[in-house]
Amino acid sequence: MLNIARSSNKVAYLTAPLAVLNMMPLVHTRNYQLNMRTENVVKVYKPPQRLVPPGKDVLKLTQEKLFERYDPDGEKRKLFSRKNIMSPRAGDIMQVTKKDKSTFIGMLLALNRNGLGTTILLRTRIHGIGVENRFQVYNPDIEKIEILRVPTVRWPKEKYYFIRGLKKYDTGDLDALLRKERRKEAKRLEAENETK
Amino acid sequence: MLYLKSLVNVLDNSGAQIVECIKVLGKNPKNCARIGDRMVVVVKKAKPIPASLAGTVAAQQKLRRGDIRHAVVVRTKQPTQRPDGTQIRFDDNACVLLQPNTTDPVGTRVTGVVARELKEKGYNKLVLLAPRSV
Repeated sequence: MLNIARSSNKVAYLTAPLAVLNMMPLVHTRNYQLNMRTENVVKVYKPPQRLVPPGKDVLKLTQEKLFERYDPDGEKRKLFSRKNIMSPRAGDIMQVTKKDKSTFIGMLLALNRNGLGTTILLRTRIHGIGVENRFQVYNPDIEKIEILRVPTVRWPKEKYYFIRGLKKYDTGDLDALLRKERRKEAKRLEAENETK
Repeated sequence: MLYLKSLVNVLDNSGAQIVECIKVLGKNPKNCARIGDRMVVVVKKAKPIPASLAGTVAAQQKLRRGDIRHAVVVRTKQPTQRPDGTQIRFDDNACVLLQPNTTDPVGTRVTGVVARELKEKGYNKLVLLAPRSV
């Protein structure tokens, strides 16, 4: 009998005497399953289009975009690039033309390369008084920046602040000087034509 | 950046050469006068009145040391920021003397460049008299 009980409980119950069955406690069982686990449902959307392609620097990309917006021809970028051998240096005489056709001629004292915030500081002398003007190069109001003259001798300095107020090195009235030169050249050309 | 006691050049033929700021008008006491600001000045150095003019009306109109007038700042050494992003800076501090409560200058002539900001602030007559505005 014991052997049978070991092999199968069911058989054991059946074979057990009734008294034993009555003594056993009632076991309540359930035949269904309660859903005890709550699931957190998250909706999955399609990923939006990437603004920056993978593997590209965000800062560089935005700067390129801004450069294209404020300098569509790329002329200013070309002029002020570090790779350009003919890029302006302190001591050059430069002319800035704005969109309203007003011009300012002056000697370059300092060029501060700072991406879109690049500035040039021009100095001239008007009616005996030194006037300095600092221009934002990539300002859309500025139409053209050109180098009029390059000095034959340069001082070994990056910035020419030292010329302020020094009679020996300071700029003259560059506007008047250039006007005078142009007049002279026109006269010379006239004389040449007459001789021909 | 002109405060109490700062010495300023004069750019007209009123007779004064150097004036001293004694009050910046229409500003907080801590603030300074910049281009286009009005201030009260006292004449520190004046041109000597020629003997030929002595006793005439012209001699009475010329300013002497100690006279007090209003003035407007036309040039500053401190760089001035403009709305288009440029900065303008001159080699000296200069002003033009004004008649009280008007924008008309005391003298009849203005010598030397003035800043363009004056036109926007209503000193049209002064800008017209000046040989050039930058």
